[in-house]
Amino acid sequence: MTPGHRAIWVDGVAIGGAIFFVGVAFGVLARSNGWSVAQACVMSLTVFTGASQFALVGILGAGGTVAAGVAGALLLASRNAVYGAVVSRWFPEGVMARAAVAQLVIDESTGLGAAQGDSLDQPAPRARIGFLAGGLSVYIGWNLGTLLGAMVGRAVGDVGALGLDAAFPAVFLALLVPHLRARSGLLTAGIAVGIVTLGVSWAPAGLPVLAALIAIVPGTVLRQAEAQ
Amino acid sequence: MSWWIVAGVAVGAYLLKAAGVFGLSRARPGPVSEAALALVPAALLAALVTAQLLTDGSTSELITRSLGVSVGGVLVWRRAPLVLVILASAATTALARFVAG
Repeated sequence: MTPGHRAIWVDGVAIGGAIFFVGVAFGVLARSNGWSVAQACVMSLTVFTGASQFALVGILGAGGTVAAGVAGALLLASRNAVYGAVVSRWFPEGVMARAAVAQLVIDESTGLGAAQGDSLDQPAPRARIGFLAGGLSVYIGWNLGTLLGAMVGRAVGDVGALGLDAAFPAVFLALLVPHLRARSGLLTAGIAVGIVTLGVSWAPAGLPVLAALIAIVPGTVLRQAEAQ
Repeated sequence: MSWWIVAGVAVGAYLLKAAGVFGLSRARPGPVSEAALALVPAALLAALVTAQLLTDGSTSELITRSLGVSVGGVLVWRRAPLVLVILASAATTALARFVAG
């Protein structure tokens, strides 16, 4: 393992460690909303998309219908299809490998892969390591956290008192900053922030994040102009 | 709560992931879609930072959370390791909430 690769794994494990605590929070939340320990754990093992799981449990817990809960969860999960298109370029191998890789396609794994600065052309060795380091670390951290949270249930105090709700946006911020070096990235991110800020208070959960993808259009125009 | 809900969301979530991984694998994107794909992380990460920052909670929760994320942002800008960013932002928010009572 080269020093560069080790640094990528250190980042991945750090993210997985943070996600462990989010997993604890999810486990506690699921238990307090009527899900069993087994259901919370199976959900984390199979769904493995934090925001979707929080949305499902949160919407049903707030008295939403099953249809609203499932729709909210899948709407949030639909960004993984976009991520998957990016990730597929890092893993050109066979069907089985891709089927396994697909389960790890989430914000953190795709973000850590993309943050390595490989070109989009194959091969992308650092992007692959970033994706696997982020994906595997988060998978382990998320599931161990869910198990612990679900088992201790309501005995855990307020997760907010530990400041963990600030740690998660900080992680995404750390992944975002490398993309702001190009002016097209800065423009795209700025418009995305504006869209979510305007929409978050009234739009259904998950919709503003998807709507923010519109920011790619002006960003692409600027990027094409930059390239000339 | 029903196992059917767990199963439905699990299948749906995996199919969405797999659709992306298998869907665009054979197509060779042109320069415009190449540029658009490269900007996906900027748009989504910025959106997620904002959505998580502004997520539900009281005004004081929002202020203390913003304080922690700001400390994290300064550390990111100074190229601090991710572990430090995570610990510092959580600790700042926790401390601010403890002090604020």
